[in-house]
Amino acid sequence: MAEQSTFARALSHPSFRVGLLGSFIFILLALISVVWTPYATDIVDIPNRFGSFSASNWLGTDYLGRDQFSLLMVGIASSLKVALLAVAIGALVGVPLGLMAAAQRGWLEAIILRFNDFIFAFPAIISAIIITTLFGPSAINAMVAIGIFNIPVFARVARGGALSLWTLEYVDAAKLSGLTSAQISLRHILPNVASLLIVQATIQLSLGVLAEAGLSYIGLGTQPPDTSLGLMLKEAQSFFFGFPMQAIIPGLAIVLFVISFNLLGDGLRDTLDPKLTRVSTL
Amino acid sequence: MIGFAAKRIFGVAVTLLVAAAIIFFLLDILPGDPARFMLGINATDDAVAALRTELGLDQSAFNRFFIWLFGLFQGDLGISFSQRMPVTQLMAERLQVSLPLALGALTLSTLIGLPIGIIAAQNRGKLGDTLAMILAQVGIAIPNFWFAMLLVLAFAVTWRIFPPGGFVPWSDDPLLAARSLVLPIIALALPQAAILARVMRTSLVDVMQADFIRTARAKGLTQSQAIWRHGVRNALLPVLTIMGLQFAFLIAGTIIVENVFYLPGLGRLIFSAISARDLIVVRSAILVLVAMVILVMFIVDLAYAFVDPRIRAGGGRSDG
Amino acid sequence: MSLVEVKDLSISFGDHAVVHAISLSIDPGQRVGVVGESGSGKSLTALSIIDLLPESDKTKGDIVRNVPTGESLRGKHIGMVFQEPMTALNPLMKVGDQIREALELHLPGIDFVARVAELIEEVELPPSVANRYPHELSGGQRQRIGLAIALAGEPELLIADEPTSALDMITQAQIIALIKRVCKAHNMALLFISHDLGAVAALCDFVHVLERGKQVESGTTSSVLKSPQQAYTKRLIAAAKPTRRRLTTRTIGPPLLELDGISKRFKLPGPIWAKKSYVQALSDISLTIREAECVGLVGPSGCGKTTLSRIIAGLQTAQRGTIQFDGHAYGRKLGEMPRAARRELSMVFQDPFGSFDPRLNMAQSLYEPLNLMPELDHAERRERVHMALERVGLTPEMLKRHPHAFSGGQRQRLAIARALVLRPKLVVLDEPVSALDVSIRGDVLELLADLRENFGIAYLFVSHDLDVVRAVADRVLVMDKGKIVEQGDVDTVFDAPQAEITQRLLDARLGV
Repeated sequence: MAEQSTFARALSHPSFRVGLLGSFIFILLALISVVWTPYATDIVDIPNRFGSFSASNWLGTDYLGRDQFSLLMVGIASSLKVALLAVAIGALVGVPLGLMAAAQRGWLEAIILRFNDFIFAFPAIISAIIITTLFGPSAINAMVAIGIFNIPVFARVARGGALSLWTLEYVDAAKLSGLTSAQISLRHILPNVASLLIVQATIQLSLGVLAEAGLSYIGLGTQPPDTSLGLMLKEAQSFFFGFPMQAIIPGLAIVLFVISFNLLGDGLRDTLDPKLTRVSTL
Repeated sequence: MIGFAAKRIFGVAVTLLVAAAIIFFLLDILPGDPARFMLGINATDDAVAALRTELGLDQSAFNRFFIWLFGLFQGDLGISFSQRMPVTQLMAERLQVSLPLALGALTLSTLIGLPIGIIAAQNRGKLGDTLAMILAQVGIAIPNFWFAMLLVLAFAVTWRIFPPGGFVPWSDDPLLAARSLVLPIIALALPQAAILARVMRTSLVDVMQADFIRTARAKGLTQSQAIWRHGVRNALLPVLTIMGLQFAFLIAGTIIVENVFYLPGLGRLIFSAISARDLIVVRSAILVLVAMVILVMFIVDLAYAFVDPRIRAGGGRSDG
Repeated sequence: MSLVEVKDLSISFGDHAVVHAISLSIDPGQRVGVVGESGSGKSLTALSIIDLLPESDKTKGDIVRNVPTGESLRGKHIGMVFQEPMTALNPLMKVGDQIREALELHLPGIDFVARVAELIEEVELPPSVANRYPHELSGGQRQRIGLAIALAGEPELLIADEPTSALDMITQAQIIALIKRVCKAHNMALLFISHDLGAVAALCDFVHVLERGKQVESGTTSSVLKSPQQAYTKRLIAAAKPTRRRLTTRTIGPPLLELDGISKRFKLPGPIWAKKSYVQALSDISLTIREAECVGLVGPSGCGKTTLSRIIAGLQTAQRGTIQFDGHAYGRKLGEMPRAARRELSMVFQDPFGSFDPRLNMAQSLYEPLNLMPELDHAERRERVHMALERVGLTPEMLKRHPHAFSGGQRQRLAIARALVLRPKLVVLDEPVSALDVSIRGDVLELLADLRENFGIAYLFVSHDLDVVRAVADRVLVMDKGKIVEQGDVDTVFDAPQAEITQRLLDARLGV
C-alpha cells in the first residue's frame, strides 16, 4: 500500500487535519525562533515589566520586561527539543529491544520483559530526581529521564506488533529463503510495525512536552537563563495572583501544543489501524 | 488464584530488591565518597571523617547495602543528615499528605472517568459522545500543576471556598486538613479522568464489536443489556492495565502539585533533601515511591486475575 | 403457513449493494440450506432474519416472521449459532451461566439449574462443564454450548451460520449430526448457512445457491445436486468432487527424502522451579518420499502433521532422528540442514493472504528465495523469476504490484511461483487449497498436477480433506497422536482402512 494513499486518507480525517495544522504552526514557531524572535530574550527591561497586550508586545512582557511572545517561541523550541530527543532515546533503544524480544523469544525475551516492567516503576520524575541529585538540574537531565521512561513504551509496542507478524506465513517463507532473524526483522517486521511506532511516537511526543513542563516547573529541567514552557510557568507563579496572564499564556500554549500532537496521533491511528475503522465485518 | 498470587509476590520481592540495589548503587556508590559529596568541596577533612564514621562508610558497600535493607524491614532508615531526625519519622509525616492525595485522586478519577467512557461508548457518534471526547482531549492536554494554579485562582482567590495552600496536620483539625486537599485532588484527578474516559470508551467500542456480544444479542438481550452484562467487564481489562501505569504518573503528579499548594508532602521533602545533598533522605524517599508504584502494579495484576479466569489458570498476563 | 418468508430482500452498505433481491421461505420443521462462497451475502441474509443487521446497513424488501407479536423474537422464536466458537462466548463468564441467562430471559420461573443441566446433556456434554469457562473447552465443546444457548428459549427456528467451518472434520461431522438430531427432536426449523455443499447436503432438504449476492438456483437438495441447472452450481458440485490426476508420461523415481526416527516434544509453559512437563508432538517418525511422488499426509487436528511438515521444510528442528534429503544428511546429531539442501526444497502455505508481505511488491517477494543462490547473476535471477511466473500462468507485469492487488486464487498461484523460483525437487504443500473458494480449488490442483508432470517435482501434500488427497496423491500417510498409524497406496488405504482413526476420518467425510 503506497504511503501516498495513506497520507491522502489521513487528510480526509478532520482531527488529523486540525492536528497537522496545529503541530505545523508550533514546529514552525520553534524553527523560526532559532534564527529570529521579535525581541531578544536575554535583555532585561525592568521599567516595562508586566506589560499587557500591545501592538509592540503582542502578548505583553514578563517580570523582567522581556517580550512574552518571543519567550514563548523560544520556550516552545526548547520544550519540543527535549520531547523529541526523549522520543529518539526511547525509540532507538526500545524498538531494537522489542524486535529482538519478538525474534528470539526464550530467555532473552524474558529478560527484556522484566527490564520493561522494572523501568515502568521509575516514572520520569524519579529518574530526574536521581539524576539531578548526582549531576545538578539541567534540560539534558529532563530529556534523559523522560527518554528512559520511553524505552519500555517503544519496546512494548514494537514487540506486541512484531509477535503477531512472526506467526505469519510470509515470515516462514523468508526463513525458507535463508534469511536470518535480524534480516527478517529489518525487511519484514520493522516496516510493518512502523505505523504503530509512528502513532506511539506522536503520543510520547505530547507526553514528553507535558513531562518537560512538569520537571522544569519543579526545577528539575530547563534552567534560567534558558527558557521553556514549564520554566515560564515556574517563574510566573510568584506573581500569579497579581498577574495571572503571566501563567495563563504559557499554560494555554502547552495545552494547544499537546492537543495538536494528540489529534495528529489519533488521526494517524484511525487511518493506519483498519481494526478501528471497520464498520461492520462479516 | 493463590498459586498465581504467590508467584506474583515472589516477582514483586525480586523487583523491589533489584530496585533497592540500583538506587543504592546510584546514590551511595556512584558519588565515590558520599560524605565528601554531601558536605561539598569546602568541607574540612575532620568533618568528612566524622560523617564517614556516622554513615558507616568504613564498612564495605555490600555490608552497607544490607544494613540499609535490614533497617528498612525494621522501619529504621537512618538519621537525616540535614534535619537531624529519623528518616522514618520524616517520611511518615509526609506520607500523611502524599498518600491521601494520590489515593483520593485515583478514586475520584476512576469515579468520573469510567462512567463517562461507558456512556460515551454507548452513544458512539452522537452529540454527547463527541462533546465528552472533545472535553477528554482537552483534559489530557492540561498540565495538572497549571490546572491547579487555575483552580487556586478561581476557588481560593476569587471565590474563597477553599484554602489557597498550606496544610494543617490531621491531628490538629481533620476537617481543615481534608479541605486543603480538595483542590489538589481535583487538579490531579480531572486530567487522569480524561485519560481513563478515553481508554474506557475505546476499549468498550472494541468489545462491542466482539462475537460474544452478538451471541448475547441473539440470545435476546437488548444492546444495552449486552453491554452492561457482557461488554463492560471485558472492556475493563485493558483499562486496568492503564490504571496501573497511571498511578505512576499520579505519584509524579503529587510531587509536582504539592508545590502549587505548598503542601508538606514527600515531594517537598525530597526537594529540600536534594538541595541539602542529603543522600540518606533522598535514597529512602525514592525507594518508598518506587515501592508504591510496584505495589500498585501488583494489585492491578491481582485485580486482572480476579476478573479474568484465563489469567488465573495460565499464571501470567501475556504482555503486549 | 411458513414460519419465515423473505421476499425480494436487498441489503446495501451505503451505495454498495451486497444482497440482491433474495427470496426464501422456511416452513415449520423444515431444514433449509444457503450455500455460497465468501462475500456472497449469505451471512447478511441470516442476520437480517434474526434482526441483527448493523444499523448502517440498508435493507429493502419484506421479511415476514410468523411469531406472536409483542414477544422477543431473538432467543425466544429464533435462535442462532455463529461461526467462531473461540470468540462467540463471553470469556469471563462460566458457560452454565451463559446458558442460564437465556433461560432467565425467556422462561422465567422455571428451575434454571435443572434446565441448564438438561440442555448440557442434550448437546452431549458432561454435566461438569456448566462450571467451566470457555477457554477450558475445546472448539467443538464451545460450539455445543453455543447450540445449548440457542436452544434455551425453545425457538421454532434455528439459524446456524457456518457453525462448523472452524472445526476439524471429525468434530464437524459430530456437530452436524447433533444439529440434525436436535432439529428432529423438537420439530425445529433450520436455516443452515455454509460454503460447504457437503455439509448442506448432509443436513438440509431444500437449498438456495447464492453467487455474489444473487440467488442463482433453488430447489430440493437432491434435485439440485443431481441435475444442477446453472453453470455456477455445476462448478460448485464439480469442485466438491476433485478430478483425479496421476502421472502419465513420467514415473516415480528413487527415494528423495528419508526420515528416520524423528521425534519432537514441546515444553509446556510453567514456572521455572516447577517440574517440566512436555507434549510429545512427534514420536519416532520414519517415512520416505520418492522423486516425482506426491505423498498425502492426513490426520485429525493436533495429530502433529503441521509439526512434521515444518520439520521437513526446515522451519523447525527435531530432537531426535536423522533426515536424508537429496544426498544430504542432517538432524540432531548430524548438524543443521545445509544451505545446499535448502535450495532443493520449498513450501506453499495455506493462507494466500498471509503468504506475502503487504509492504513489498511481488518482485521483492519472488526474488527473495534467490538469497539462497548468491552465485546467480542478475540476468539469471530474472530469467528464473519470469520462468516461474510463466509456469503458473501469470505474466511479469504483475511483479510491480503489491499483494492487495490480487485475488486469493492469483496469490496462491504467485505463492506457487515463489516456490518454483529455486527449481526445487520437493515442495511441501500445507493445505494449499483449503483457504480458497471452492470454485477455484480445481484450477490450483490442476496447476500443481501439471507442474509435477512436467518437472518431476515431489510433493508432500498436507490436508484435512480426504477427497482432495485421494485425487492428487499416490501414497498417503495417516497420522494420529504424533505417530504414523497407517500408510500405503491411497486407494488401498481409503478403501480398506486398517487404523481406527482412518476409519473415523473417512466416516466424517461429507460427500456430495
